[in-house]
Amino acid sequence: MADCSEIGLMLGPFEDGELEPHEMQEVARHLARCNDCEKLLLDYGIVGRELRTLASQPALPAPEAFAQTVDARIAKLRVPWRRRSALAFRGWGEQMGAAFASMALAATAAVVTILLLSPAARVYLTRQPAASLARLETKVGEPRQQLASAESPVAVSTPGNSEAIISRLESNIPSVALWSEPQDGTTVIWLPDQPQQ
Amino acid sequence: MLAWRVHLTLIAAALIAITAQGTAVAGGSAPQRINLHVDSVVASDTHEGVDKRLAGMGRRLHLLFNYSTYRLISHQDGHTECGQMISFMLPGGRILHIQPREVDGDMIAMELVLFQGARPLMTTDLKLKNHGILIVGGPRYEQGMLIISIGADAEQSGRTRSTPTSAVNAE
Repeated sequence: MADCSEIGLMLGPFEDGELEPHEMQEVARHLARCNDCEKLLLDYGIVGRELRTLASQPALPAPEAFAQTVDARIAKLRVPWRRRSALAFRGWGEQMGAAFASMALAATAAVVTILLLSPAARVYLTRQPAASLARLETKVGEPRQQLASAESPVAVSTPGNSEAIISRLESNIPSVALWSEPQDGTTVIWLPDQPQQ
Repeated sequence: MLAWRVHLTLIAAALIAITAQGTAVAGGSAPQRINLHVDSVVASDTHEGVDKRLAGMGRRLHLLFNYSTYRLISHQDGHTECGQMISFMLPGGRILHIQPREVDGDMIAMELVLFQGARPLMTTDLKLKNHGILIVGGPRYEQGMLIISIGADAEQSGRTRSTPTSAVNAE
């Protein structure tokens, strides 16, 4: 038979129903004939209820209702004008940033278009590479370089800083010379007379 | 919000494109009236120097050729418009036809045809720099070689246009 000291240790679990069946029976038989332990069990019961009361959480509304309640309370709050203006400018700044980026892109495309359409660019793009530049310049003063043959049209372009760009040259003369003076860019077409038959 | 951004971008792009096109059109419609200058020079080795009337042209001829004498035979000015041909009578029964085609920036596109009587000696398409000079030479004339200097100046657009005028010999 257990004494009060051993039963006292089991009163808490007994109150909570956590003892084994035979322990529950032993505690119950002891309480039937021991007033001190019965009183102590009552005290345990009162303390337990008090603790459960303190530990209980207030019931929360449903998540949707809670969110609506929070929104309603926020709406009632007066937002300072500085805060409001800062929010407005932040959103406006993002929009304007995107707009300016788009405008910068469009402006770049327009500048490139203008440059490509400019007369200088067109002249540069249409100018053909003059492979015979050096060969022609060595002939300055001696117009003997033959660039065109009889009955055969030639397409030539005078090079460098020459004042003329020749795209077509046709002649019945057996030999035609073409060169450009490198110092001042003057272009010369030389058409020697045919020898007398 | 997105639509506003897209609209703003499209408006800006349209304005820039219109401005660019206007600039390109303005640049392309430049001068149409062309002033032409044709000098006929005889080059020979008679050691008589450069004709004083050739002025700056003499230095250019010295750079290009090795002759000791350059004598101006005729100086002709002509005025025409793009698309209209003008004729110049040259020494030795030669005829020069010049037909400016367009003014492309600082270049004047034109076609030149040089005739010996009724027979074409040379036909060429070229672009000559505004205020530039092209020299055609080689045919014999008198005791030397005939050198033809062809200069072209494009007038600014907006001036009064006139029909092509015939060239007038200086001598």
